[in-house]
Amino acid sequence: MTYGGYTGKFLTVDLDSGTCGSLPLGDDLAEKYLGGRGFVAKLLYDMLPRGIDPLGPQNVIVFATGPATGTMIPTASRIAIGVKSPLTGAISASYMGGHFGPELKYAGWDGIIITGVSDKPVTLVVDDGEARLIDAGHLWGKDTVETQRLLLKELGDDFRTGAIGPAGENCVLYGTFMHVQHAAGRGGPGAVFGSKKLKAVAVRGSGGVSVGMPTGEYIAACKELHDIIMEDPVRPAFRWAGTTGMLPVVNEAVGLPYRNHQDDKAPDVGPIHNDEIAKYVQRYEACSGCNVICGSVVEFERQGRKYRSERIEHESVWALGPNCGTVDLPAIMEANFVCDHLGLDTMSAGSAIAWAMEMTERGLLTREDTDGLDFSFGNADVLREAVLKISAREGFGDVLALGSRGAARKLGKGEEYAMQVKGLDMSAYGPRAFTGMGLSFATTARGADHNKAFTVAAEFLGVLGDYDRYSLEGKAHLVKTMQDSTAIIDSLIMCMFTVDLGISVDLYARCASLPTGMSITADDVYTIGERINTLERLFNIEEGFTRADDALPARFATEAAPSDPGAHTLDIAAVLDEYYAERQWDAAGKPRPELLTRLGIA
Amino acid sequence: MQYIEFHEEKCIACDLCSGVCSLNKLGRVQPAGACIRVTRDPGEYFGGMRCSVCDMSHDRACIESCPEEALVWDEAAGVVRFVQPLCTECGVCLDACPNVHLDAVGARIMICDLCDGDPLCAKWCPEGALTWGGAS
Repeated sequence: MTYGGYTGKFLTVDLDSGTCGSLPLGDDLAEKYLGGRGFVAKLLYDMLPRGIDPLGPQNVIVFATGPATGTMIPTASRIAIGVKSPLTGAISASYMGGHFGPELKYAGWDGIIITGVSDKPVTLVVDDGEARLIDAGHLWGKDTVETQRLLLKELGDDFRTGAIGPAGENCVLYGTFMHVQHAAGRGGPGAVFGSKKLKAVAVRGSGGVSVGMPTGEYIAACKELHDIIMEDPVRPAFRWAGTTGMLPVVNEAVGLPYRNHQDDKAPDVGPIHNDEIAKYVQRYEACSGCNVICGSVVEFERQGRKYRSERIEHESVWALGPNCGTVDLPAIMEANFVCDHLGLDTMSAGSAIAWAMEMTERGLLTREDTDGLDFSFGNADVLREAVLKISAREGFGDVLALGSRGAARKLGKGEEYAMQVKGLDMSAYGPRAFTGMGLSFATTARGADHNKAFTVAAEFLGVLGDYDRYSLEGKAHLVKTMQDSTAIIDSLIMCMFTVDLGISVDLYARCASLPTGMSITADDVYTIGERINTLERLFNIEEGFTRADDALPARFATEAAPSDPGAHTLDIAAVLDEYYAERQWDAAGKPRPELLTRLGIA
Repeated sequence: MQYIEFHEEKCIACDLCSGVCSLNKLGRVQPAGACIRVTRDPGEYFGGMRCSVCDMSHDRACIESCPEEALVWDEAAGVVRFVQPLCTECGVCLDACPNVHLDAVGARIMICDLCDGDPLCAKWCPEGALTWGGAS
């Protein structure tokens, strides 16, 4: 490896034999795929046989940092965890912040490739250059926080840890891998860990990462980037409100899905306003290398139960709140807490519960089907109980453990009320109100993820342009370019929030160039991003995905949100040809040979 | 006497201080090899933060402990200096004071020298959790 920012090698772990090894990282992989999500795409595409069972022994777990990880580039704390998703069957990379990614880098590894399946529960311990598997029998069944506490006690508190909870062990299809309370969650990597009996990973790194330019110059360049964020007028909103500051604004704009996306506005989000959440804050928390500081620790109680945890995030408060027809903040925070501890993705959990609520409302599910639990919209008491049942896969919980789409398919009814794309549940932005988000949900390889082209920035916040948020005009191009630039953010890996904090595509190119010493331009950013998105598309196509999978739930084309005076609907099929043309994909959604040649994929 | 002061209630665990310190001193980002270490109290979930950096006191226990004069007091700057050629890597100084640190990669003893009057950790701290009173 001739570039800075990388350690130049991946740790390989074979759970079948219990052995660990090292795989050198070539310049070619770094130049073409950069890191993080790009590495996940390339490694999974090359390594996975087609058509495997995501929960079978052939699936592979890839941890991947990027060249900026742990190098003082602002917010570059994140690590990607890639798998073939058990929830979707598509390629999936989930991300978590905190301190785990940089620590792995300091231990001397750009990432970890985990193959095979263990015959008993194990923990992977990475102590600088030495890696070993140790018994985790005593940790199996324990929640994510207790597991990590015990590991630190066992190994030393200078380790950084991550673990799955009972949900992952039980292969709940949206099980998470948790580092402290940072979740790599969407798409269910935790279930893959569970299927492999890999309970936890602990990392300690005493080494460092070198960068590709003289130290003094590099420090000054990084300081400039930090100052841009520090001085951005939007920063105080994150610093104070976390991610939930957007919620009342989006609701007012009739863009916040309510009651399983039946409406796009909750009558009153006052009780879950960030002012209310802020009342529980004890202290502020940042990820490694970050001066945005969106995190904080809260203390709260509900029905005599006391909790200390990380503050709830925007998507979680929505998924378990308005989407389930409730704004009972302590109940929502409690359900969020239980999800984090048991290791479930809050968004898919909320979506599965909201689906059960709509099914109940429509008379398609009765209390006999739900073990007596009352899945009425607005019943905040059912949230915690449902999450406990899902994690344990007990009774009706075993149905909801399959996600909203899986549950509908298992029962043979109600798939039209499963608010997902490719099996991945939708986020807190109504597609009818933000058509770019709708197109992004429909076309993103991993499914309905709001963070793969956050067009709300350009459609609503006025950060990256001034588009009519209801119109589809220009959206094919907007979504394509944002998906490509986002792939770089996910590959460096930086935090998505930097998009709103003054970091332009030119500056992402700079963030890639500074630590590596490469000369990456804005054009290169788009090309590398296009390569990553195209390879992810190829993966999915070879797994049997087709144009028909680039679709939103039918409701959006036929029903307007009752609260929307403009009565907007969204038929995403109307813009799919234009989007495919932007991407140089044919009418079936397959990348054209000349595109593959241009990107050097063929 | 001047030294880096730590204000626990403001620390947000971003590690920018140890990151920039190691980058400046070692030419690579290596928080575990920095002159300043910020860690979390493991006794409580999301427990308080602790900072370990030379406070220019402890009766200069590090200097006293060194059998080889590899650690010397720089009177003009008011800081401890490490003289690597004289170091035998015995590690006695690490036991003598909790604010003495080791760069395991370069086998170097790391003690805060206030960056020659412009401490980067205080400059980079986004929350003002690290302050420095100015010239000594």
